[in-house]
Amino acid sequence: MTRPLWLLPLLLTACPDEPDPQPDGGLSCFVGNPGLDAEIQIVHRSVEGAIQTTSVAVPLIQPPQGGKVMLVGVRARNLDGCPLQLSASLRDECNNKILTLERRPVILEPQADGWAVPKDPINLDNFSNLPGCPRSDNDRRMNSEPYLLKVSVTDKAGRTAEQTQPITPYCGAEPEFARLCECECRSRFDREECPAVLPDAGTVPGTCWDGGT
Amino acid sequence: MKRLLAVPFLLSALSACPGPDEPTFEPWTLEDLTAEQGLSVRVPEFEVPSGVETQDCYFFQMPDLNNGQPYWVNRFHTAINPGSHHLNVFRVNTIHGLDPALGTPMQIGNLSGTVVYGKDASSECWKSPNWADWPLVANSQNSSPENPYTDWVLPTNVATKFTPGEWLMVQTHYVNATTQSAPFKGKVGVNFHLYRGTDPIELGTLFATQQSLRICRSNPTPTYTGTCKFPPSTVTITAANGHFHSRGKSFEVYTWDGVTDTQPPEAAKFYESDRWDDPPMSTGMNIPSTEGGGIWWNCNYQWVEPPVGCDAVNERDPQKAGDCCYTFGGIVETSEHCNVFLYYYPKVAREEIFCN
Repeated sequence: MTRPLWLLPLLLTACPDEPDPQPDGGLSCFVGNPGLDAEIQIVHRSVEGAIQTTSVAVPLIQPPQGGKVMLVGVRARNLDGCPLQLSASLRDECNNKILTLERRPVILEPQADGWAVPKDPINLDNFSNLPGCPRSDNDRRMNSEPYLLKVSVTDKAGRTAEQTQPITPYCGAEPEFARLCECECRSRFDREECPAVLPDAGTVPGTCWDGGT
Repeated sequence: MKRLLAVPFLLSALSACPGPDEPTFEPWTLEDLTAEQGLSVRVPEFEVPSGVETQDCYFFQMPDLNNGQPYWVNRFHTAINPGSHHLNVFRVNTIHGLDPALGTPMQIGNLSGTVVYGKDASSECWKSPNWADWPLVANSQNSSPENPYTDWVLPTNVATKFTPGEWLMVQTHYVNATTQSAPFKGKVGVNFHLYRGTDPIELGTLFATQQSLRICRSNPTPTYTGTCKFPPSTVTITAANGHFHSRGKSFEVYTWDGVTDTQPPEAAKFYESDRWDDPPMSTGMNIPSTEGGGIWWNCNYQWVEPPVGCDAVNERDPQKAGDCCYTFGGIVETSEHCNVFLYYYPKVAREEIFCN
């Protein structure tokens, strides 16, 4: 039995196909004036989870995966911060090479002052986790030396903004990791040089027991 | 009247639609190599029950094929039953929780070895920190029923070095659930063909991952980017493949100059895949890296409703955001990956390659 040809379009269109594309999630949090250029200011996260405007000093923080990172983000307006594609890089101006670069989507949260800042700053996800130390390709140590930080953002509608700023990463924001940070952040890190540098945990709170390292 | 007409049309349409194909698969065969030819590794056939995702780690020591001296391999030939999510071969390095000595003894073809089964995510074979510093040897993601073979011949005068007695791990990952199916039993074979030339250039491997992943209902189309820099010397990239799970839409790898902080131009792209299942492996490439540069890769995702429900996905979210976010992890059904496998020569020290 053959089916009439005029049924063919119906048959073709009626067959189940790939599922419809998912919606874009509907998340949006435009802040500011859509008629103005997007603006950003570079911020970073402190050890305690506070958002701080970046001037020069940026703490090197130990994330769960180890090593030391700079948690860099933006304060922004005249764009949609939900989500925002954030790109951060650190350049050594002595040789013009990029030492570290990271891109990720982040979510901002509008504030009463007309700007948006990283949502849930106690978490690390809405900041660029810019790897700092250890590394084996740096000619200078990472801490206490000046480098050039560049941050750029793009929102869903393609609005972009960028800012470049000299910074000096530093160890010591977490005193318990300060010695390890100093070691890991030397130029051309050698794994063998830092194995014994571990923080002393002191005593276990409320006891006389040694907490080890 | 319209309704009366529509019913037969609908029935006709439904009856004309193709039903699920009956699975057919011609069992694969690989040549059993002699000691003069190389080494044949055969993971015994195993069941992959419906609804199960299993990852097993098989360990064996490289045999003496050269009178106690190191030897070289320049061809990897794999055959994998359908339903495989990945086959990765690593050299065993630092032992944490995953220890060959603690595995169940078994024969892996003609080799005596052990296996650490991973029937669930609590197994040490699922915990990636266990093999974080284990160098990659080779991988294949191809288990197509039509052609389950990957025959990878290294470039002329390039080979991989092995030492008699060193431990290797063959990691298999099979899925027989909603995102992937394994209609046949799990079965894997790898042939290591000996290199017969002299003074080869040693192959280098790179297995790099992006782990800060969040593919959420409220942010459904994120892109994650990774970069790796080689030391100040040039290498030649010869093979590559990308790896993500079913939310992955496209995987792109570029050469990168190490100086530019924006995405490299299209002309620099040397690998692209829009397949999360059986993604292609590009071989036979001849791509020089830039002095002081490396690679740049992108993983582009599309969030989809989890077939297993959002509760299982939310359960894994370290932030407990309740936004149905797929985060980093090996389980295909509920988590995501963004991994690049790269093969290049000449080999450089692992510590000399820096990845973000």
